[in-house]
Amino acid sequence: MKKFFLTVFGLLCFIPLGLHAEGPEELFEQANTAYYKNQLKNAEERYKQLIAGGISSGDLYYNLGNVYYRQGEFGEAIQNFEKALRLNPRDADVRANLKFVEQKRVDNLGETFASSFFRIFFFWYSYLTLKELILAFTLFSGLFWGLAWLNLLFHKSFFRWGAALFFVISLVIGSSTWFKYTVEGLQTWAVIVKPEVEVRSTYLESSGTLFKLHEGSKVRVIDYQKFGEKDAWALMRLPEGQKGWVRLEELGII
Amino acid sequence: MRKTLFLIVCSFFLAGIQTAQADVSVSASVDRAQATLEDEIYLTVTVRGVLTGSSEPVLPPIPAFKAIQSGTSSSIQIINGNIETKKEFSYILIPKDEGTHTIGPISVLAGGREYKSRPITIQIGSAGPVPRQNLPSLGKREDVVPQAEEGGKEYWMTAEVSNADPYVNEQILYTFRFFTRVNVGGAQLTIPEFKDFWSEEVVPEKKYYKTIGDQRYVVSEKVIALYPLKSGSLEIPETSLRLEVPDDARGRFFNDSFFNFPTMKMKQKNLRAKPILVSVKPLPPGKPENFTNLVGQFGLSVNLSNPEIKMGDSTTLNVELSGQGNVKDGVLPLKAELPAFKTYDDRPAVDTVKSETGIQGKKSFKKALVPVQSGEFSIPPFSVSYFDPQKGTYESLTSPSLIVRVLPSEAERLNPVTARSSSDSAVKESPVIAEDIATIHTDALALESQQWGTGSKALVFAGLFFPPLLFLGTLAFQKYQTQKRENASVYRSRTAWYHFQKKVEKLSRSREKGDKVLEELTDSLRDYVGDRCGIYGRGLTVADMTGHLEERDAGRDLTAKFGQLMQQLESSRYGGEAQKKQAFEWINEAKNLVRAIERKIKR
Repeated sequence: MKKFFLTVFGLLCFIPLGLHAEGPEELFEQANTAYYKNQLKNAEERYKQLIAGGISSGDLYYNLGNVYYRQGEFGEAIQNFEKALRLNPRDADVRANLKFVEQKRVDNLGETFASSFFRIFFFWYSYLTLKELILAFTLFSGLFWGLAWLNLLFHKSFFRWGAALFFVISLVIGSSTWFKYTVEGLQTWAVIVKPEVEVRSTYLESSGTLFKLHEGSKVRVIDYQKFGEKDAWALMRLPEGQKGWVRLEELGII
Repeated sequence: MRKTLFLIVCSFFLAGIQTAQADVSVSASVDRAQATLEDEIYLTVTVRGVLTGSSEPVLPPIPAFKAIQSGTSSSIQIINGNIETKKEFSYILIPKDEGTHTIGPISVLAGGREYKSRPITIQIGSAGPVPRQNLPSLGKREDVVPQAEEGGKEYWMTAEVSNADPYVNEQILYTFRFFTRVNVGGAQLTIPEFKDFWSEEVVPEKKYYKTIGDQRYVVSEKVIALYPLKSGSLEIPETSLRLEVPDDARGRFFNDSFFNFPTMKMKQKNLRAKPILVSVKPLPPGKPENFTNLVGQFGLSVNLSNPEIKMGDSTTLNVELSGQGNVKDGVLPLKAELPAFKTYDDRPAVDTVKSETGIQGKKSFKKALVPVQSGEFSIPPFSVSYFDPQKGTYESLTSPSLIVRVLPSEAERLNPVTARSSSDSAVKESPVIAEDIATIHTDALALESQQWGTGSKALVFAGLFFPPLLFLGTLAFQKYQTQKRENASVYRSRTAWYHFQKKVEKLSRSREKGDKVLEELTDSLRDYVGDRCGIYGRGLTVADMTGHLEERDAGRDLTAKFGQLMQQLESSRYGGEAQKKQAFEWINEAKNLVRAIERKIKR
């Protein structure tokens, strides 16, 4: 009897292996091959399949951005390059491709004061991922507390000065981390993915058009209104503060 | 014994059953052989001797009646050991035609054989007359088909239409009325299916009193609006009312409302109104182009919610079609293109008012106009055509021309989006950096997920919170230790006098004498100074003690006296001068001196 259960258990353990005939590596290979063969829809589906399978990789988003660009969908390309940049901010290819595709953008929306401030005075901010910033903050704050602790025990000026130094470093990295977390974790950003979008004064098709935006423009989403699956609206804000409603389907959330 | 008895009883029953099945009879009877069209006849089919395997009775075709099965009952009787089973099937027969009608043999299948009842003959007469009446006015009275004859009657019903020769789509009213001057119950009205008409109930049920001749009647009324869907001779089938009325056999005296007992014997009646023929006329030729089958009398009103708007705002064009007739069929007549606007139609709203004179109502159309350019624009007039059945002609309603002024909006001035151009500084700052995008990444590392794992999160949390917790824990521990030390010293200082007093009092009460008293007294004084200063007192010299007391602001005189006392005590103790003073004198002196020092220090 015991043998029977062990056999059944063993078989059950092997069933999942049989179900995963196409591993991520194979899918990735197929997607890359499809891209090179210009079978872009095929490549798009496979990259999406990998991402949907739980692999959140900057390289995958980057490749998907390339696929969209090749298909002439600049909005989706920018959306995916932005996602890739969040994960691989020092990747020269991602930066170059994003900059290249952004040149095709029609609208010139400017930049918020906070982002320009951080870009200038916290230059490392855009070269580090949120994960790296958190790790750096953890390290330096740990050093600060460690030295402060040693000072508490031994009352040596070396420890005191060391703690003060790491406190300042932690403060700078902590504020960068908080800003990055606010932008990437708390706020929702999106890219216009339709050639031209009418921004309305309210979430009704019949409401007046305030202005128009074009594909690739990056906006911040601050509210949603959903009236069923096919009628969803997003309230977006431009860097200079203007607000308006667009259909959710016209946005690609970063 | 019991088993044997059971077998005997079973055998007895089986034998009985066999006997019963062998003798089957079917009989049919009616509660009356003569009736009127308003009466109901109860038919009972009785099957005897059949227990199992028998079918339900099969009635022969009886076109003169409508048969409704009303129930079954069965019974078993054992008389002198003979078992007789009986099953009764009840039917209600509602007469349809006058005359003498025969119900053929009713058959029942039992044990593979067919058993039949004898035929029954029933004579059906016409319904009784109703009194002359003054019906409430309703449209064209001459079109009402009278169903009443002269003479007195307790109850009757009528069904009529307001117009027997309407046009297609013209509203006519079908009115059902039931008159009664006796109490009736269990009324079930069967309104015909108006299959060639579109119908809508106007008055669900209304009751009022009406005096006809010298009798007061209660009248129940129901009105339905009908719109003929096609021309020609259309029939509205008969309307029937099934109800319970007092049985005349109980005598007139008890029909008085005074004797309206709940147990009054009632009988079923079926009243019917004859079918009504309506001759529907087709609409005359020459229909206008914009005619949309509206028949009745209508009006048109058109307005704009705001004739002057800014770009980005919207205005609403309100069109209201109202009147009596099939207003529901109205459509928004505005067909013209409005190139200066984007238009959005709302769902039309229909609001009707139902009364005895028919259905009146309005259909509202709303069209949102969102300007796409500023300026002054005209909404051209539009017209609605309908057929007026009273005049017998097609009529037309025309809207006025409306003007909308669209002002440049703030949104235009505030439009934050500027298109890039060759002269745009943003473009200058970012010259073309390449001819094409960089190619895809094919490294297998691309498949490494960059999301936080659970372990990483735990490590980061530990790294973030452990060091400060360690620091704060150590700090708290150090603080606690210091405080504990400080607290102990303060406590001793505050309670030094108290403890000294206790020791001295104890010494006074003891029977110790001589050196022992001096020893304990000097120790108590040392303990006092030690407690007062938060140090160990027993090891202090006289000089140490006076020094500490001076530090505590005990005053030079008192400190000096304290020193002298200590020296005297020690001299007496070690030099044999104990006899100079009695023990209690030393004790009192020490006590007074320490009290003075305590006061001085506390000040």
